Amino acid sequence: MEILSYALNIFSIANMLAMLVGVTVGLVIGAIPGLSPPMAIALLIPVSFELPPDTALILLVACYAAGIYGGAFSAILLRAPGTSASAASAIEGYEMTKRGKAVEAIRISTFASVVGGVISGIALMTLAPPLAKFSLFFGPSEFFLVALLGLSSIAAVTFGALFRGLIAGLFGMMISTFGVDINSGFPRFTFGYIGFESGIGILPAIVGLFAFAQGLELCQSKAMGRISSSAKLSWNVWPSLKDMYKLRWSLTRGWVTGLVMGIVPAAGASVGQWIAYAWEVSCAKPGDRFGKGEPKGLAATEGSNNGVTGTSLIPMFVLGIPGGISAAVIFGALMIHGLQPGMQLFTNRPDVIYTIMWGFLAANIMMGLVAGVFARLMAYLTVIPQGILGPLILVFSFMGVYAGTNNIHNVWIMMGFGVIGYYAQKWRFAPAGILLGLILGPIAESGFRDMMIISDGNPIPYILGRPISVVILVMIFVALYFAFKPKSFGAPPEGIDDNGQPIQDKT
Amino acid sequence: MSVWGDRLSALLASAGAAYLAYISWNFPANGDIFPKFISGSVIFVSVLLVFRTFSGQAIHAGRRIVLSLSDDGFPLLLAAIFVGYVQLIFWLGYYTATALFLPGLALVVGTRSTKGVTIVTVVTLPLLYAFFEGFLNAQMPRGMFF
Repeated sequence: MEILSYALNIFSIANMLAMLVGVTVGLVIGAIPGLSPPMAIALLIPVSFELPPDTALILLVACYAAGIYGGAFSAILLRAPGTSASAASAIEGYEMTKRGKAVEAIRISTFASVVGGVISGIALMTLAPPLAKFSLFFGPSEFFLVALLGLSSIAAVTFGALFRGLIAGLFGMMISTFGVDINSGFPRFTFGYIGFESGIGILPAIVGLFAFAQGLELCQSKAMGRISSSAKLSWNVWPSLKDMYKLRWSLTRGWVTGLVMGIVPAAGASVGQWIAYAWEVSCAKPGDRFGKGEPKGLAATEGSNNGVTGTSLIPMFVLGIPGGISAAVIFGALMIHGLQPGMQLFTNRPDVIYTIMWGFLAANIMMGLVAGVFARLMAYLTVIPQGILGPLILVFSFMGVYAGTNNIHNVWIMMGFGVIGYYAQKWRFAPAGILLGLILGPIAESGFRDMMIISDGNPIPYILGRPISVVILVMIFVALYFAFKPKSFGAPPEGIDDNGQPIQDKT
Repeated sequence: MSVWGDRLSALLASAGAAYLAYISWNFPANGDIFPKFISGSVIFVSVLLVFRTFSGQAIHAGRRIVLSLSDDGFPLLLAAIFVGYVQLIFWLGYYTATALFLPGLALVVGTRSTKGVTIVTVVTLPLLYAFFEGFLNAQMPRGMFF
């Protein structure tokens, strides 16, 4: 096998060092709310100029994989996801932390992410050419329907408040249309505010909805109380195989979702995690406590977001179509280093492309080792009194958004989302739904508009005439069926909240 | 949520969606199609939400509306304080404004550990600055002092 002959290339000192730097930078930046993996990769591109192409690209793909994993730390420990790809992990992960199971949650996340990344790397190496061809069949209707499928997964994150969750998701889709319309150049819904002209960015939205809102929540909580009920932390971030065996089906569902969603251009980890979570909730059994710290949910989301990382590089390497924002930044770096994506990359420079793929695979393993040190340090955040941690998160939210965008308007937008996120959480309007709508909005709108033009305003026969669209449509109906189906699991008795206290909604 | 909480939510969501659909009416180059589709969907889901309040009374039984100004208004007060901090940072500079804000807010929310607050402030301020300005080469806000 030609691929195997390049495996030894990654053991050069330069490549190993690049991997270590990429993993460390990715973990740190991924864990900081407001700083995303694409930003981390972009920061490393100037560093990579002086390096040979394979070493440079190993640095960047290692940073990408670790950045997605690093986002889970802050999601699990603080309910302030470091990246949009970890937003779903905050649901079950943070609940586990509150119950004193922070280290257990990190163990699940580490195993799911490392193994998911390795599987994704193997898929990248072996399935790249045939799978990339599949995405060529995606047209406007498929993109639109994939977005709707993602939206239907909101049902999974609303826990009995389906309609309010859907309203939140649609609200997110609506605000995704704010700003200048790329087709006409016409400003939509700006209300005279210049900050809306360039649209609502994902960065201020995610920091506001999760980090800033969480800061407000902590400031209102018992000042000397702690997030975690456990003050003693273990050094071991690796779970026992016995524990992981119990989660085998959840992990598998997460990995499969990640592998598939990675190949779909523009879907990526942000969408894949929600679909994995929705799938997991639909498979719940009596006794499972989704929304209250269910390890199965965390295993699925963490498996899916790192399962995406390798396969999202497939369309980029083979077709020149990035599978996500991070892949797009890596795509830029590929061009800077004079590597033209496409089949000729595999035929003309196999030494480079396969070394990068092996580097990606090895970086995922290294990520698990580096996390052993990193996770312990991060876990100490949960034992800081909430009255100190809350203001600190507020300051960090500001710094992250301001440093990330250098635009004060994004700080105000972040604050707006923070206040919305706080009340949305309080009144069960699913802040995650708003974020999902915001992410899916542009994909849905682009697909919807193109579909309306191609079908001459008659989309139904057009959709029904396309087999892939029909399959996605069936998946949407299945998702909605499970959303509306009465559940006997997880939900507390009527009138009683998750803590067993009488519900007093504040509306 | 209470019966009237759901009904009020549905009414407000529908009104907001109808307003945005109205604004979008004359967007050129088919820029109005998607906002109208979303507005219609919001109104449809809101109607379903209202129907559910009639058909599923048991779900809402025992739930009541409790509005507390001290509880529900406090985050708005915190947000207002934060607006002041953001303004202050561009006037006084990062170090001075944050050195005032961080311990100040911690004490306002009820932290009694002066030692803890001081340690966190002293450690965090230069670390944050070094990370953003030094490592990421980000432009930190500047003011009168530093």
